Amino acid sequence: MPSEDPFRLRVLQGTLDLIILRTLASMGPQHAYGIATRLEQVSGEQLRLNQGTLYPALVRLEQEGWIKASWGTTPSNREAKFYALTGAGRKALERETRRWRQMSGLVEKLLCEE
Amino acid sequence: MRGVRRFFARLAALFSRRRAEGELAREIAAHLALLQEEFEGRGLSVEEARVAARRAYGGVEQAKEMHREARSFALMEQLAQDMRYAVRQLRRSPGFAVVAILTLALGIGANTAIFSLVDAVMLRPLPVKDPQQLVSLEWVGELGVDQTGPSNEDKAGNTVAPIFSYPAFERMEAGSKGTASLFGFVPLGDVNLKLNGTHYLVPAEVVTLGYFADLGIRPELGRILTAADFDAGAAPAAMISDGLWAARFQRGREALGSTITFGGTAYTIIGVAPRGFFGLDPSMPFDLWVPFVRGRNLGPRGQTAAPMGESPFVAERWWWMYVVARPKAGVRREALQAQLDTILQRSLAAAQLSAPSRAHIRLVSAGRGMDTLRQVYSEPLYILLVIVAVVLLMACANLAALLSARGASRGREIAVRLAVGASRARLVRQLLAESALLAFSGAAVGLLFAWWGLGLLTGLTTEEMPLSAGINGPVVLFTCFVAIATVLVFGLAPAFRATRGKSAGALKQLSRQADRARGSLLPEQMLVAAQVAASLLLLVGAGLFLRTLWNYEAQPVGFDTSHLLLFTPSFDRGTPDAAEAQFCRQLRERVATLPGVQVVGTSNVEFLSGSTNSWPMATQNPAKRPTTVYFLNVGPGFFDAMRIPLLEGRPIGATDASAAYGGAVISQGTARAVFGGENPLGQRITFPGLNHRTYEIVGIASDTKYMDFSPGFPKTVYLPFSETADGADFEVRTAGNPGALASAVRAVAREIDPGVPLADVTTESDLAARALTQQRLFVRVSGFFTPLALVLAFVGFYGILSYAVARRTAEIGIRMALGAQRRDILSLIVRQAAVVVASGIGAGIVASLGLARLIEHQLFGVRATDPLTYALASIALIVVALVACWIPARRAMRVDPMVALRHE
Repeated sequence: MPSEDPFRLRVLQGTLDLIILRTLASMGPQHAYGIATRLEQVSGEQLRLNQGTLYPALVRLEQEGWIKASWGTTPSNREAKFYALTGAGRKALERETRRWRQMSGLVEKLLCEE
Repeated sequence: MRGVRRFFARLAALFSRRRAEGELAREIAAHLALLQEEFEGRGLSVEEARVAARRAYGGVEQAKEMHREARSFALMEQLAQDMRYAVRQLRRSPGFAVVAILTLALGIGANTAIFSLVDAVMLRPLPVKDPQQLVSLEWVGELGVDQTGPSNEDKAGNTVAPIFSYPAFERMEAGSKGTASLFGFVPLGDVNLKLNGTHYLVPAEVVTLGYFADLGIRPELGRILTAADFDAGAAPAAMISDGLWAARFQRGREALGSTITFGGTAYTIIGVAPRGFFGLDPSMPFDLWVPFVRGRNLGPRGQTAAPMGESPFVAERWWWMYVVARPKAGVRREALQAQLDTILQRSLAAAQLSAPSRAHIRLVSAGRGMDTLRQVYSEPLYILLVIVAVVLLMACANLAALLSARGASRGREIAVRLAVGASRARLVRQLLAESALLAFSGAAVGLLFAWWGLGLLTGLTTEEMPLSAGINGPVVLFTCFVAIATVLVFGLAPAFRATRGKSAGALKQLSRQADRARGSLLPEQMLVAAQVAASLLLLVGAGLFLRTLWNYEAQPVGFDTSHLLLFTPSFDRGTPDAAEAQFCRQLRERVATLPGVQVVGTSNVEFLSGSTNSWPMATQNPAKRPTTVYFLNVGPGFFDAMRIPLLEGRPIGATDASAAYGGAVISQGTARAVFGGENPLGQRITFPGLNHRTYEIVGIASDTKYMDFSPGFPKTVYLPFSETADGADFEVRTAGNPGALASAVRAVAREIDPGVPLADVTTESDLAARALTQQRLFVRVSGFFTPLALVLAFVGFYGILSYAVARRTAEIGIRMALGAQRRDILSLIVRQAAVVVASGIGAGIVASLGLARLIEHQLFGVRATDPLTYALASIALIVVALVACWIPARRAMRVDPMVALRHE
């Protein structure tokens, strides 16, 4: 892993899959650059990453059958590999989102009790 | 389910690497282009935008590596990469690759060939149900019974034999019904049988009811023998082997119901045993099985009655049946042994033995077949295994040296790769991949060698060891194991050495060390010393085995083995004695008239055939205890045909067979041992318990070997045939090549009676050669590998010395410039060689002495520590080393100081 804040990275790794799925669900098919840009936009300055680090997650999701890649062209007429959510990916997103909510709700509760 | 799909995707990715890599590169380029476009849009120049894009993207190579790791199994991919790299490397130096692969193939092939013998003899379980449960019965002790079958002596001097009388078997079988199932069997030898009007000799076995059922044999065709087949009144039934079925019936169904006739009984074939089932002794495959039924002509190896004429089924004092047991579930072996032991004592009482007798039962695992073959061959096979293991070690040492040299010459490449950040583990793995590639190529070629060598080996031993040794699953597994072991032995150390940090510096240091090295050896010198040690081991072994063979062959056997044709008419079991005698008389007369035949002799045992008869012989002096002697029955002409000189008296003549006191001839050694100073001629001798005849000693023959080449001469007694029987074995002395007469003799026999084929047609010199098969096998195997070992040692020597000279050229130049004589330079080189030779020979002698005990039993006339052999072997190695020294030394002496120094 390239040098990044270790804490931020760990958080990222655990949730990167979810974030990518969510991004594709809301924006439609996107290339890696688009996903990275979106991530940075949404997070403000909190999440900045070497864009290359997205690749392992993309491979993983593709191999799970949750996203599908195909080559296309950008509005500026450049070629790029576009990733789109599949049916299985949509279901996985629902499932993972639910799990995340439960999880974060639980953590939130625990933190509030103090 | 999550993960499974991905696992297969990753697995698949292993095979689409090239496409995936291209795709990835394209994706990254596109990504970077998009980033750059973005930065350009923000107003940066093209060049600035490019740099900024790179920065935002992060390490391209790292991203690729992460992608690869996520995409597939990185380790496997790297392994594949290493293998491809190794193939490229080896293709670049084909000479090295060929030498290395051939060297290894030789070592691995030799090991595979010998291991397949070990597998066939010692390891392979019988193809029967739960073979590990089977135990065979032996008795240990001293019994005054007549034994027909194998017996040994244990260390305490007790007789150990796996044979029992039929009544003893019946008692044990009935008495142990609750704890085990017992069955018995007896080899009948090669039975002369009639099938579809033709006579064949077929190895047959007679079995009890439990045999096929307890072994869990499922017939290939028909059924197995059942209880009904064992009734006295039952129609005679027989089972045949798959081999006989194929040879005589071409695997046709008509085999069932066909008739096989021998011993006056017509047997109907009721079943075919499964392929691969040959009985319980891997050294004695059978083709025919018939049930034990009283009243039929069934006794071991041609004998249809006990010595005193009793039926085999009631004779208490004739022990001849093998017995095997399968203990019932939960029955401990000790318990069964104790139970059978008690029953055995009843049989001993029933036998009413005159001499005090004692014996107890011992159970021996029989899952891999009867024990006899293993007992005979385990030691020789281990010796052969040691020989080939030493050869393999030599091959490994040689390769390690070669790889070290390669590692050294690749030092720069490796140093560079280490410097640019290749991990050491990865480099070691890469070098090991090369070794593994060599080892497995070597193993593949070695399997071919083994297949070919096994043909030679079994061809050499087929008479002694009719085994189905072959390359099978376990053998291939063994070969793979050996290949992996060799990789570790010859590849690991050079790989670590080559990748040791700062290789170049280390190398330089190495050559400095070489100058100082007097006491300690450098690794490559150690490898050559190891080769010298291994060569010495092989040389000593070869020398000892060769001298053993010579010593055996140089022994006087007491008769003339050349120009003797041997054969044995094979009668149908149960042919009346008179008919046999008449056939033999006619055959003897007719053969004697054949051109080229000088004398025809007959006997009931052939000399050096491995068989013998022995029995206690009593003299007229009642005070003297009977002496056990080796006897054989001979017809007139025997002494002439064998050219055994008679020292006194006359030979056995035609009338001795029927005379009241038939003439007997004793050997010189017997005369000395039994009669001492008395004159034996005219003395009467008897064999109590063997027969009721009294013989008169009419002659003394000079000593001869009898059963085999064992040292010394046995106490032999020659007796005439009984009135009704005449010789079974013929000894024909010929003027020319005895083998050339074989077909003429067969033709004569066929004319007299086409129903009596001749068996074992051979020559006495072949028999003598066969008696030394094992010794010759050792000589051939060690004789084959020893020169190869010497060549390897030579190459090793030449290699390190040439390397040393090349490395020290400058130094030699300086020495010469400073006034050193050629002699000094020579001694410089020779001294280095001497250290290696001396330490190699020293280690070799220690190893040889350590292994001496292993071969002690196999030697004859020479001690395993024979100083002469050791000295000759050492001298041979010193000569090899000197020759290997010669060229590098000359090169060193011819060094031109000016050239050498300029080079520096």
